[in-house]
Amino acid sequence: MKPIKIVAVVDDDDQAALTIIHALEDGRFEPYRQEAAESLAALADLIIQNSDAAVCDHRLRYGAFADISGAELAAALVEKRHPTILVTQYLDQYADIAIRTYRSNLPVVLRREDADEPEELRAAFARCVNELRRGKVDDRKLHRTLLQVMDVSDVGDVRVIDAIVNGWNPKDTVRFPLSLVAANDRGKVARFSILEAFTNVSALEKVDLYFENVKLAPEPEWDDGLR
Amino acid sequence: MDCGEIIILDVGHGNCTIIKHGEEAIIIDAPGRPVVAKVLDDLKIKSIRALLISHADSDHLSGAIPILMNADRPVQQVYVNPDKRKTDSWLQFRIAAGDARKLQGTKVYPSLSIDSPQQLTICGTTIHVLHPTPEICLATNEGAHIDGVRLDANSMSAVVLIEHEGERMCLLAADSGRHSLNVMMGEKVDISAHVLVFPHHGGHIGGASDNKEFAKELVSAVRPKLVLFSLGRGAHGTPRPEIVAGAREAIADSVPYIACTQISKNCSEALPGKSERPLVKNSEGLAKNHCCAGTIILPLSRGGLEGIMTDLSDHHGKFVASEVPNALCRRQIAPVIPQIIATTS
Repeated sequence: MKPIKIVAVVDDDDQAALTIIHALEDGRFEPYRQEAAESLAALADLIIQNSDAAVCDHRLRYGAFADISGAELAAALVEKRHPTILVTQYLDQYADIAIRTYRSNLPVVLRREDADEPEELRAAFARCVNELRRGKVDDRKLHRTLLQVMDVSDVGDVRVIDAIVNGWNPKDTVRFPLSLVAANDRGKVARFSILEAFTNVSALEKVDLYFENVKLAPEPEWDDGLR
Repeated sequence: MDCGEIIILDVGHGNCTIIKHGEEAIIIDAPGRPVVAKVLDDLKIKSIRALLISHADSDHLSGAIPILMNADRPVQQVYVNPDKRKTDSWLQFRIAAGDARKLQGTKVYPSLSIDSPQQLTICGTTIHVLHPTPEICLATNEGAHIDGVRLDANSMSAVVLIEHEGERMCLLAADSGRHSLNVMMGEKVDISAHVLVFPHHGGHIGGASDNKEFAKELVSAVRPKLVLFSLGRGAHGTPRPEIVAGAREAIADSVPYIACTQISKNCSEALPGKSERPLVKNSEGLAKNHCCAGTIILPLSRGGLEGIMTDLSDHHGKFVASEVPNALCRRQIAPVIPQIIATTS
């Protein structure tokens, strides 16, 4: 992996993009504003060709970026081992659905106000590179556990689950899209279903939780002696 | 050589104790908090010799689920008493125990009493279960003891003594209460230990029993050097002031050192300013500045207990004296203040 010098900034808001570019310049990086491309795949290829790393805003709404989700683009870049930081102004609001869908491939998600600081950006790149080199460690490390579904509902056009994560907090629910559940099990998930999943239970903050391999858990054994 | 250690983890409201020897551990209780998985990862524990669940309340149990389902860190044995309440957390524990049995070959023993486990020793550290008796287990947590007293999850809570090379290091009282103490005293069980993790986080002991009298009797019988309350700041009003007073007044000739894992709101409604203190990083209260003593690590080496008592009175004692002037343990700490003043000047 190359040392990070040239950084692509993907943000459709002129002022916000300039703020990040200035912060990167203060951190002795060489940032540039990435133009849109005809598709997410084409945009990812362009960024990988022209930069050592990227900073993507999550909420891309205008012009040629209108059909692209920043979280999806950042996850695609990380999947291709290109260090990328996702930045969002509304972390708690989006983390539940849009960002959590891709969080497995998003080592670092920064709040907009933190992305103004050169040292925060440098530390974020370091965390991202560390995960690309060593895999998921510390509070990103996955643990297999059980989730208890407390509600299944629709938010906009997305079906979501609110579940208690055993090993994280027995008194709080975490929201994630039903699409993360194995396709064969999705139709069977209801209130009080128990799911098994891999999740990073040692994360301190709810926004940092992410889920992989979510599926329905088996029933307990009737003859386990624990009834 | 790794001498091993007892880690009494600050988990907020709940209990978790880890006995670590090299890459192996015994765990007694595991609430569902991030710090439990984190500390096992940080300690590089590769295998769990045994997992004991004192009783099936969520603040002792729900963190056991990811521990049981972790194939990278197999659990060899689990000891737990069946819970008749059919709670969600118990149902999920059963699923996780079945998963561990099938995938890791974990032995699941549906009994935790003075007779089970028979022998549990790791590198000179032995686990003794002092309560409940097998008769209490047979009655279940929805039955009654032969003395007619109705049982519940708390009165069936296992009381565990950790002994190391003949030294009675630590008594873990889980959520046991008046009836458990009466049964142990009635059977003349020796419950003495250097460290007492006070039952039920210092909360009400249940029924119409007198909290202060209970604390006095328990501490008199244990005669600990350290009484620790494992609590979450702002949760359930713990520790009860009369319980701390009872613990303090129990032994006239040798007042134990009293500490809580987190700063109780009964001691200080406001949080003190952040200060540099040598707290154990794997303390649940650290991020929110809720730690009072935080996680306690008791080395199983010669002088380990004296070392931890010195460290406590140094960092915790000074902190309480300067930042939590109305602390419930304050009167107990008073004797060390002249030393602190002498050190400062």
